[in-house]
Amino acid sequence: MNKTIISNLGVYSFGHALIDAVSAAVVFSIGILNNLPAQEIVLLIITYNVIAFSLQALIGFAVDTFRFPKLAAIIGCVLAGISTLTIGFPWLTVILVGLGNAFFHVGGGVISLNLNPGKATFPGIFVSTGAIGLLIGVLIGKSGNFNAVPFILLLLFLVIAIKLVKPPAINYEPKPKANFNRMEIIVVLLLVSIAIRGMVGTLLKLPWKSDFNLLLILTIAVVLGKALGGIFADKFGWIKVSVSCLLLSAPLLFLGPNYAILGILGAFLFNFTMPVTLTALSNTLPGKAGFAFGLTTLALIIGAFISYTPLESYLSEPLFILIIILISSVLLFKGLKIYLQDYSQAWGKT
Amino acid sequence: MNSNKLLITLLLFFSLASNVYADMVSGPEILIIGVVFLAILGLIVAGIGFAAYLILKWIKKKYTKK
Repeated sequence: MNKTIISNLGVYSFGHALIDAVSAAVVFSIGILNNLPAQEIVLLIITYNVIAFSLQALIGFAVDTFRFPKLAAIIGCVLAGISTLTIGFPWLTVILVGLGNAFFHVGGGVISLNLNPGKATFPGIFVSTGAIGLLIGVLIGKSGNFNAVPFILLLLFLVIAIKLVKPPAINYEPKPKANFNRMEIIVVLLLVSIAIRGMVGTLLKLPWKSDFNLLLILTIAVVLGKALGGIFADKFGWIKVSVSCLLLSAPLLFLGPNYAILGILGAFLFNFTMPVTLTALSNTLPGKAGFAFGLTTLALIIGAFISYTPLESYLSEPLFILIIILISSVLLFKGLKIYLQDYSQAWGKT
Repeated sequence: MNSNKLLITLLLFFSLASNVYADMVSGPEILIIGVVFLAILGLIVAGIGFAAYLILKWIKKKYTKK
């Protein structure tokens, strides 16, 4: 690993945890600090999710077109920083922090996807830190002891670090050897598989999460799953690792609500697919890493939207979770199979 | 799937999503506000999804030309 990779990976992975911590802390503090009714808090959280997740596709397309990933990450930090000062204005805060989160994710995502182009290891490490940031942010937000100063100082430090770190060379052109004839089939299969992951993430009810120690272990399992998923997939093969881990996670998550250890192991394996789907999608749309990154989060929010419907109570049944993970495994297998046939010449065997 | 079918599918999905408030609130006024609000959010996501679909079509056209 050279200096560019280490410095970029360190800065953006730390930044990812920080941005998610700030976002969660701000969003969860708004209701408590402004004494808002429960239904307004729910609407604010959903609005934040919609802004932060769905807009990344359009922001990503703009980042690819006008080539400003580093600036996008800095814009994200600045918007998130401003949002910590506007908590008295809930709707403005939610818009600012949602936009800040979206800009940072796209900027950091493009950088991480270009550290070792075509490989899932570094994007996996970059995305993995978000879960720990989210946990810290939710805990701070729910405690009602929100203080903007430490967050602003950390964000300032992050902006300086981003400014100082030299970004990798970023590819904005399509690969000449790639076969784009079945591009949309691969994209749809991977996105549906990602949307199912988003759906499972919001539908799965793990009652033992109320125990803080188990919640912490679960979060660490998610972080490790995403980080190791990319490393193992690059080493042993994308299909072998991601599809088999997804299949293995299905029975574990089926039993997860009753047995914490199985639920944690299931969540660990379930997240192995994340860096693979992200990198495969980015490789399928070469030169459009920002847009590809945004498509994955758009798919996640579309999948998660089902949990906002009255269907949620039926669909959160463990048996349904088991079935949709199995469906997702088939879609992932098919998507990666076609991807390898059409793109392995351009990106090398994975 | 053509563009219109995709848009209709997305709109149907989000009109279903807008029923969320039925489970969450008690007052009829809040219920209406919640349903309308979530329908708007759903439309935004559907609109972005549709825009992403058009961008994908454009990318495919651009790449396959080369």
